[in-house]
Amino acid sequence: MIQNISISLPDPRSTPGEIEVFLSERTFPVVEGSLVMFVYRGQAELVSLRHWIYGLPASIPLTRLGRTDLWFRVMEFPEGSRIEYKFGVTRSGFEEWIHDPLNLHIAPDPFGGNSVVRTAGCKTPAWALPRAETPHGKLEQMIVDSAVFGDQRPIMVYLPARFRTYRRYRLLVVHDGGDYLRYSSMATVLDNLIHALEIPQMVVAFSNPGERLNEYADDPRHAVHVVDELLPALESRYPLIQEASGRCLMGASFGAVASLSTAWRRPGIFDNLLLQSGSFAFTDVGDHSRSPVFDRVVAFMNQFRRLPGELPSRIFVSCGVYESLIYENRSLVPFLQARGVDVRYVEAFDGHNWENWRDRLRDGLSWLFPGPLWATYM
Amino acid sequence: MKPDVDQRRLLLLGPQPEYSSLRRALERLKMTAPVALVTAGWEEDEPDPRLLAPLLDSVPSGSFNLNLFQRSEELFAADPELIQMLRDRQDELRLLRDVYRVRLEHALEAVRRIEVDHEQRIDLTAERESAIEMVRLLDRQYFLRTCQVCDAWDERLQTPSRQEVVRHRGELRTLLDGSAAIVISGGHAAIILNRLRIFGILEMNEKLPVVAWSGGAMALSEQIVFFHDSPPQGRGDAEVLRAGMGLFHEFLPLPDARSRLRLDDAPRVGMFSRRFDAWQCVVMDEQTIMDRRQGEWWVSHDTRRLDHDGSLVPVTEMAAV
Repeated sequence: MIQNISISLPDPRSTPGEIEVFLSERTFPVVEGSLVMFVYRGQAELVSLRHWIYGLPASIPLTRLGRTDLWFRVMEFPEGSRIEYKFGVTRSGFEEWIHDPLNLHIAPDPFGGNSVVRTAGCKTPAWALPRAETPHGKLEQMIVDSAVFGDQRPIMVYLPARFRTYRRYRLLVVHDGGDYLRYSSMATVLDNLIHALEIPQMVVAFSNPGERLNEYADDPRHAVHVVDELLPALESRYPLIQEASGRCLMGASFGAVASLSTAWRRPGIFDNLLLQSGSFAFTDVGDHSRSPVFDRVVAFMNQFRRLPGELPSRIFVSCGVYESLIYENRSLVPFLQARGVDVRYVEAFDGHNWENWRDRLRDGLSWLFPGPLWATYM
Repeated sequence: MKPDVDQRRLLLLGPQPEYSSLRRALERLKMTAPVALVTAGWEEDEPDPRLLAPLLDSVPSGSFNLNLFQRSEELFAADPELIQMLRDRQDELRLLRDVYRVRLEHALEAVRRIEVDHEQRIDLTAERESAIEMVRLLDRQYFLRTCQVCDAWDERLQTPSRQEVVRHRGELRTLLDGSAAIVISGGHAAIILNRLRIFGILEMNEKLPVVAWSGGAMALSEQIVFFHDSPPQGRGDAEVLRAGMGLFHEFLPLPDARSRLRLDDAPRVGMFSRRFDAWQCVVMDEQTIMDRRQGEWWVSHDTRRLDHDGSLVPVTEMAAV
């Protein structure tokens, strides 16, 4: 496979100085079209590529160049791919997972982040980055008393830059809101898309779970909290369009399950869903093979598939091709369409991560809530 | 002999983030009396002092806002039959638009496919011209159809004689009596158009000069065309909305075209220009001023239009208008 990439590796008998020169002359990983050369330099017994691409072995060994301390591996991915990875470096029999020391691009996440490489055709969207000319919305905190959970829930509320009390706004409720703000730059994305008139000005409530894997896995208390506690608190404080068509629930992974579960348990309240990489595991027969945290999700999805009830009118679904959940998400689309839901489905050559979810926000938000771009000329 | 409407003093401008060309346009008018503002395109933000203040500062002779958007909200609340009929009209127009879009997508696809076919062994110039002529025909048919629908609804609506409309028009006429010009802001072009039609302010004193920017300028044109090459959804094919107020006929105003159109994509620019070849498709920037005085146009020197070959050329080269 090495012959497919034009970069010549140093001679296996290279001196440390010659390897230093090789490393200093290029950036890593080396990307040529769909080919990626991963390179690590350091003493080790074994170096492997650790990634989250479903379908490939979880650990892919790098090859040592002769007797040098340079390790490499060339792999091919579809163009437009975005890959998060670490190196597993084994020394004295112990493997340590580290960021790629030669790659400065780190995607942050709640678990310490990963190194990132992109093949040709994959770029960070301009609308996901701060722009000098874009006015910023405001984030303010409110506390929602939750009788059903017996606690108080801090909510961050995004108000658009030109928020006016005399207007009426659509409402977007975001599960895992703190993570969407931190790891998916969602306030920046909202600022940019609103400024570009691609989505309307809207109020966005960033909610956070208590015990996430319990509450988001079809816990009936969650739907009560969202519909009977959070929504009235938001509507009493902000000028919102008080119709289902003006409301949207969104989330990723288990947050997408929580969104779907809430819409299913309390139909007619939220007419729009934005579901990213939903953990929509189900079984047609027998038990599932995922971890026990999926038990309640599978029970919910199986019940949902038997009795979908009254569904929201419009549902945006996205998923990464490199995720283990791709089958479940693809399966959901015809299921919803057959029941009259207007569905938009988007895939990307990406994994189960926050930058994937960030990079699909424009597709989802502008489809569910189109902005006044087409008719407005300021 | 030019029609009287072409004798009206008219200044068309591009976007106004700093109101710089608006100031220069108003200087050209040498006004001493206040101007009447139409800011309906701002919709609910019409009364917002934070938006209004910089505009008011840009009008040295003073101004007053006709508040056409707020008036329309009052009008619709007082005349529910009117708003219901307007909604019904809108439903009908939306259906027509959906059909137009289906046909347009296929017609434009034919143009594109013939344009990019480089393997031809025969000269396809005639076929290319015919394909784009089909798009022009479709645009024209849709335009005429929307005119028919709007005319039929006008008959039913009888807007000028509705009680609340008569009252508002009376107030507006009094306000306009003391004004030196009508200044129409940018914003939602269809809303501007609808409010201008409902309240009829342009017809109240046809000698009053009119200054309009961006969406406001589009609303005054013969035919309104919406455009954006890279919208977040859809292909970004420009489409006809319907007839504008028809205050000018020579140009198709393209406000903010440098950000809305891929002007470096010559085939796309050329196709746009050829499709709308009944007009000069004018790129309207922040500094653009197009001034019609006694039927003759003066255009700021750096104003460009789209050319059939996909380039941008000065309007002045063809501006024998």
